[in-house]
Amino acid sequence: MAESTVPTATAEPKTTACAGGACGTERFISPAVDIFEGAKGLNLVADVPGLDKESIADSVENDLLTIKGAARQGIERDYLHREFQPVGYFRQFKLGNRIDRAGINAEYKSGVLHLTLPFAEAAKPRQIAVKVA
Amino acid sequence: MLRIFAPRQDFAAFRREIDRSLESFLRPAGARGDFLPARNPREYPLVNVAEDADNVYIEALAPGLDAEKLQITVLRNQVTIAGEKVPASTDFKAESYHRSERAAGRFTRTFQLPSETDEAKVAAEYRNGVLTITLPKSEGAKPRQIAVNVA
Repeated sequence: MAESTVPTATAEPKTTACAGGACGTERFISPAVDIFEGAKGLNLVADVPGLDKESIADSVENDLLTIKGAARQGIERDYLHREFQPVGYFRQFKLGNRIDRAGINAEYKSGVLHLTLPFAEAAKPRQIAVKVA
Repeated sequence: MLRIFAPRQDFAAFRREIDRSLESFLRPAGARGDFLPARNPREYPLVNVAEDADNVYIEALAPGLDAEKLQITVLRNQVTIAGEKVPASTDFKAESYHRSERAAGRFTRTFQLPSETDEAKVAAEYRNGVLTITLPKSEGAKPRQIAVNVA
């Protein structure tokens, strides 16, 4: 599964993300992911702490898997020390032909997004009877 | 908020800034923390510390923890967060990994707070991978209003 980031043209300009998440009105960072392969398919685990379940919008379009989460609305406080900002997450991967698009499943628990990408049923060889004229 | 020049705090903050930037400079490439928080080997979890009149708040960015196994210890003005981030799966061999960016393992981090806390009233909440600790300031650390008597 190769990583690829493409500019996307979406209807809402506010959520448009482009390469690296540098442009657009919202800020995005690339979440750390683990991708490992089992017999049944691929597992993709991404660290996206601070997101609400509702703000995650993952999609598959033109062989492109997009992991995207809108920035959470943090309570503005009087900070003494700051190491992170409430930012959104954005990352894209190119899916191979082996992945069954319809069977992709996502689970979110305590800041970790777990996607299961099952392999499609292997195309079975078809017997072709040869007619003798 | 009205900002008054406070030399001690400002210089301390300035020194921390220099320490942090030097650390990032000396750290090997690819281990920079801000971009991929989970990869930072030195400081985990990343925290924001905020303050209001009554409480100090610590927000820690720590995804994938078991809240019951988190250990938060408070002693006067010192807070320690310790826990373990479990790997995504232990059933898979190393060769089945296409990418392994999420660090896992035990961590501990200690903070010195600007004021003493009331240990008994400390509350912690873990939600969506963010740990929020609310530390009420002890009575002695709170500013006291003094009424002026007019003779």
